[in-house]
Amino acid sequence: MFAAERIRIIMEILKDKNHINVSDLSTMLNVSEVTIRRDLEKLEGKNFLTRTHGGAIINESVPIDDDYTIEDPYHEDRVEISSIASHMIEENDVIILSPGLTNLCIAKKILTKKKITVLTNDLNIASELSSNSNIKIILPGGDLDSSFMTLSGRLTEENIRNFYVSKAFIEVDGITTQRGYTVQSIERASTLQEMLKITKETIIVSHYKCFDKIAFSQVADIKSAHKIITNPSIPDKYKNYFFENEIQLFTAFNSFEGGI
Amino acid sequence: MNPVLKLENINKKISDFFSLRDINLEFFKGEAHVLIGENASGKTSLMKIIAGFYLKDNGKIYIDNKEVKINSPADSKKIGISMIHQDFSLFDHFSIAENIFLESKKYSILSLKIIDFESMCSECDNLFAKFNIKLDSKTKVKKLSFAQKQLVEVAKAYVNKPKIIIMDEPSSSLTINESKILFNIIKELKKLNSVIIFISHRIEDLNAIGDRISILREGKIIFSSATLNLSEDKIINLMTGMDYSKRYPKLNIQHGREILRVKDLTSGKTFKNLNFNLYKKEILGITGLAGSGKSKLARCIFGIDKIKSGKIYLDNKFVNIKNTIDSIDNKIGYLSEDKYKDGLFLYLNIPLNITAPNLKRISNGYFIDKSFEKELTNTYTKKLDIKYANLYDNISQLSGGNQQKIALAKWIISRSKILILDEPTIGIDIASKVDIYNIINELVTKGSSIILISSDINEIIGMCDRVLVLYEGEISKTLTRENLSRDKIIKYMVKLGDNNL
Repeated sequence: MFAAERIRIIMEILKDKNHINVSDLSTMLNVSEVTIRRDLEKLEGKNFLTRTHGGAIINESVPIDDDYTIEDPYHEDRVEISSIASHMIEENDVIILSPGLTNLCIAKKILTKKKITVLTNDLNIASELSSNSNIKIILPGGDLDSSFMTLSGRLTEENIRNFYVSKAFIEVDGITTQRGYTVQSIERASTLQEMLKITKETIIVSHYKCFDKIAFSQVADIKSAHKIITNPSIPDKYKNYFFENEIQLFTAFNSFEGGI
Repeated sequence: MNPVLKLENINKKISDFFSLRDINLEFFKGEAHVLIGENASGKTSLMKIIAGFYLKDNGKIYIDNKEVKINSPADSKKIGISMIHQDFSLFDHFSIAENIFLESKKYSILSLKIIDFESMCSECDNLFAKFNIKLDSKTKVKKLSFAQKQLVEVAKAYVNKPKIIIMDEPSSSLTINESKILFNIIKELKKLNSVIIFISHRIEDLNAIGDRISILREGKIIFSSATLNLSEDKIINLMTGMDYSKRYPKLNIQHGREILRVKDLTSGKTFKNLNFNLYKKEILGITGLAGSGKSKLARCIFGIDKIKSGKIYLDNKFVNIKNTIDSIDNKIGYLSEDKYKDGLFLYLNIPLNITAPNLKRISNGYFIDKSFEKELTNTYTKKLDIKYANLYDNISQLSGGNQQKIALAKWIISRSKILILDEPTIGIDIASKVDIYNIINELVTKGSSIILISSDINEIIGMCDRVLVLYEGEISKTLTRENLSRDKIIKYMVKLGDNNL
């Protein structure tokens, strides 16, 4: 799991419970206590919480504001990925956007498009898209994971099976040639697998740091994707591998110099 | 019948990306053996092994059933193998007759250290009369045209009566009449029981003189047989091979208005009366065989080579491009086929190379803003994933792929609206190839137009929206993305015309 995601979870929990201890977080998120402490330090720097012995409590003065998020270090990379993705979405397309921050960026990019149907189990994505009435949003039922605002479980999977889409943008946390595409939770992996069964084209989206990383649960074999969208600085071996295995690899970057 | 020349399991690694693999071939006396294959399929490399210019990695070569070692061109010559190259080995300042009889030493009287010029010239004239070659034996070779030199080379080989003669694309520059002369000489050589190995792109050559055909593809012999009953369709099918065009990261982007129009462009001999246009955000492919004029066309549009007549319009306005400065000012960029010779400054560092066409942007009045130069370079080496040890090392130390990305970076920074890329991915590693395709995509989404010149058909099909196929300086066909296929491109490359499709 990545720092930004972890921090988001920690903030959610704190907002809910007002206090938290390090060892619980460490077991819950499956990372070392040192990492948790570092995350708490960051949040303390943002005046979100005060660290205590073995844990942290939320600062009372902090307004509980949904827009209050730690800056995502890969935000720029995600935006670049989303602009390539937006070129793949045409009028009358029926697509899946799986949960994730990159897919949320894609949702923002396609707001200007018309006559698109989006199937998603990420409520943040659904809410983002709802500002455009020309986009039809379909949400499956299921159990709500309130820390991520995503739906999963048996109901979600059964609902998904009723549809067929032309393109599925699947965001994953880890990509290696041996373990293929992986994500952090079993429930998410299971939902994503259902999505892969009902799509004509599978498009994996993931920023460059996810390469050479294996997350907890496998979604699919590396050869099961049709297209990959990521950033240029992934290891060369993946560029070779995808080209030789007939998988289109898009590496997104912005050719305009930043502010120059 | 025993083969005169037999190749057994020949392997040779040519580069990291290309090798000849397990070549097994037999050549018989009195037969013309035509070797056919796409550009860069390994034809010339294989012949250079037989002629001793390349050493094979392993495998065996037999002459008349005896194994021979060919370690140098001299070894090969001793056996009686003679090769006519695409580039010549004639002495420019000697006469035709001298060149022809130089190796046979037939008229040199060694004891007296003199040469019997009279009889030499008269035999040469007789030879020319026999084959209907209209040349004077006393003419200096430097005065001859490319095609005439080719004939002199063939005549020279004929005089030496080689056991095996290798001709590397001798017909590509010849007119119909000259081709006839060539084929007559080949017929005479057959009568003398020579083995003729004839490398060609042209299927019509096969029908004219071939007794046996072998097809090379990606460094392997994939077909070898007597030429009887072999249809052109079958040959093209064998030549083309698998369709690998689906691996290319192609984005479908709606193109905009016309941005470039080329009208009746004529350049001396290479091409004449070319007409085509280019739209905003379009990737226009140009392909054709070696010598079809595709590289020359790029050089003419960019203003390196002079055009004889014709006009170039940018955004519907006529522009007079006299030199490369004009084209850079008009926001045209160009990546040359030979980046070492004229694409990069190999002995300068990365920032100097990247900023070369952009000095106006990074200078403040009289001086170059060094910190800006560095910032710009850092930004783009990161964006294009250019790998280097030290920013200020000469770029000659970088890999071919990274050099090519540097060459591209300079045109990105100069914000070229039209970018002409001549064989941008030839001979570079796969990872850099993938990067270059993605750079092309990014430029197109930002509003540039690309002319992609390539002999890699997969790349052309994989990346282009529209393709011009050139044949001997003319557009033999324009194909749109929906109509692109390997078969079609190859057919128009060798110009079989519509009725054969």
